Amino acid sequence: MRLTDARPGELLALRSMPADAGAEGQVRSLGLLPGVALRLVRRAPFRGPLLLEVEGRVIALGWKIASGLEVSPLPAPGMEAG
Amino acid sequence: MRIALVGQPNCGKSTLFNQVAGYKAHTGNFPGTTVVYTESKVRLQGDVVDVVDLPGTYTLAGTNPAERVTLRYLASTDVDVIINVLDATHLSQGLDMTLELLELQRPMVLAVNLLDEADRLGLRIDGSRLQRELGVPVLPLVASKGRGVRTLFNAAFQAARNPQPITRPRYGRDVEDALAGLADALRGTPTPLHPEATALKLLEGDNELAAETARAAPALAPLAARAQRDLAERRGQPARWVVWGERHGLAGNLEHLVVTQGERRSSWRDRLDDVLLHPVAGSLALALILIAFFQAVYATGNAIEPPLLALFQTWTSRLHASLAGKALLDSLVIGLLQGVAGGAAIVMPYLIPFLLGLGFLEDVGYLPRLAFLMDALMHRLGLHGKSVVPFILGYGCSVPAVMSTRILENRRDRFLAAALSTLIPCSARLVVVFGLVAAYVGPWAAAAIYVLNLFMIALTGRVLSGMMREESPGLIIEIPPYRLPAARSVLAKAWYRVREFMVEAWPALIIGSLVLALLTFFGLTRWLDLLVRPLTWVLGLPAATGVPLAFGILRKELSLVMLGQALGTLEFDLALTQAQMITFAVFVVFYIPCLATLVVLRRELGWRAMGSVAAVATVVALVVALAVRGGLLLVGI
Repeated sequence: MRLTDARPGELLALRSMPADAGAEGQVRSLGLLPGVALRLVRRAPFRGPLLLEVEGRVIALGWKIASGLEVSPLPAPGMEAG
Repeated sequence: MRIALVGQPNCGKSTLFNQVAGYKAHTGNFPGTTVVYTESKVRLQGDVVDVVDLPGTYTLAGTNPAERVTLRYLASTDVDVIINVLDATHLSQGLDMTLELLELQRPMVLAVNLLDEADRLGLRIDGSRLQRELGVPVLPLVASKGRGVRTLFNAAFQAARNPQPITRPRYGRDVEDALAGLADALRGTPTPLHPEATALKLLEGDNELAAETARAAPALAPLAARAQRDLAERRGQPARWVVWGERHGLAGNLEHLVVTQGERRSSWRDRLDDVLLHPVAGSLALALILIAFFQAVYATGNAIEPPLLALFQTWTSRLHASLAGKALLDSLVIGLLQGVAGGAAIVMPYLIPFLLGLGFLEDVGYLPRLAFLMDALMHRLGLHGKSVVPFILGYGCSVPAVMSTRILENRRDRFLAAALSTLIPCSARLVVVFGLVAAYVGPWAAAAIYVLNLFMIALTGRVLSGMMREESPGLIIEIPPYRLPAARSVLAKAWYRVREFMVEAWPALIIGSLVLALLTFFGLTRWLDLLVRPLTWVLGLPAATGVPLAFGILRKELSLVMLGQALGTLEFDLALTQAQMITFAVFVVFYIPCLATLVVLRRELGWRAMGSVAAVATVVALVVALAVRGGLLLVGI
């Protein structure tokens, strides 16, 4: 699914990078790489930016970039044991 | 000896720099770029060394000019030792870049900063373990309180004096094989970086570096392309993703080895964003913060401006008296003094508190949050959240507003933000709106001009961004944790910016003032009125308003004073109708930015962009002023 379809609080794994080379570099420099786990913290209304937590760092991504990123849900921590 | 400070944004690198740098520190651009560095001479162990604060970058991948310039600079012999500053609270991200720096195989020292914050988060960092793993000195630092600064610089000094061999990080077998092949092919070719580092950058697809090495060794390009293809086939993802992923993994492993998580003390900082980034409460807080900010700036400016102006006035009259009989000299000296006074008494009283407040908001970490809150709105102008900063600065002075467009990633965004922020009425234009319209027509009319201005900026933004098809990727920004700013850092930042204004814009202000004095002396102003007459006629203004309008380009804050001189009275309602006052003010608000702004526009974006901004502003000013004149006629004002 797309990052913009995720719900706040959801734990996700990143599956793709932005198609635009410049944006890919910027996103990567903030620690977003394919396979990295992230949490959607909140989203601003009116197609505003999304707030993500990636390895302890908080990142804001504009709607356009976020809508181009593929993610898959990860099990919430604590559920893995069962 | 030259020591370079390198680190990611918000790691406290500049705070460290400001702890050691004197007031004589100077900022400069790397040749041919807008990438800015700050440099200062520092006394160290009886020697004078140069300390350079490089722009904060997250990586050295060359995705933006700052990264490219930093990479080249660090690899060059200009730098004797690198101090890599790390944020202890985000160690693995910082180590990601540390590994890239190690690849350069240059003398280096690691400073683990923000240890106080890490302590609050319950993080324990084993520095000696990190030192063993990386093979370079690792030192603790709390830059904001000056703790560990001296020891750090002494260690850097030692590392530069006795360079120790540096081992670069090792990647997976297939990556290493590819690297070995490329490094072999590079043997004998002069490379800008260490051959192994160059090979790695080629594998990562650094296009600029690839083009450069291809010129020296044409056989290399197909080899690099094949190595990338092979690696991509084997791993099922682009070669650059493989390298980034491996490096990131190495950094993560290092963090696991050296960081232990203790008990986390929860603090106000953790909950603040629930309010400040909330769609409703956050916007309300934003409005309150900005109102308080501008109130404070105007209150300070208002308190300082009149006595300073009065002081300059006494000097002017004294000089005037002592120069009686020497008319030309008198005009020139008074013109010069007025130019100095314009900067000292009219701009500085607002600019200094403005920059101090801005530096505070910056160091607290509020500006990225502002960008987050404003992103959706700024998208309607064809921009993204980060460009809200030049807009806010624009209400103070267009000069720092244009300078601040440097924070935007691409040229299109920079041009658009610069063009739109110069349409925002700066404090000099505020004088005209308040002194003319609010005073003689009413505060509601002044408020209406501000609303009209916002509307026109939105409209111009839409039209311009529609004309510039190329799209920006949008907002990509880190939201750093809230921090209590160090006074020294806020002061230093304000000082650098004030000095920039003094060097770049103030001379233009003084020259403009001198030109004005000469034109008046030789009685050329009447001709100017005639020259500008088509414009004043169309706008329904008296011919005498030509000079203040034309000279508003040189000195916007003087428009009102000059209007008084031109009309022969400061009781504006005797010479102008209400409609004329409104039309005049509207035109002044929108048209060509002042000379100082034009100078900065040219320096930041080039001649063509400067011309385009001036043209856009003039067209908008004319259209709006005509529309306002027509509208006022219709409603019978």
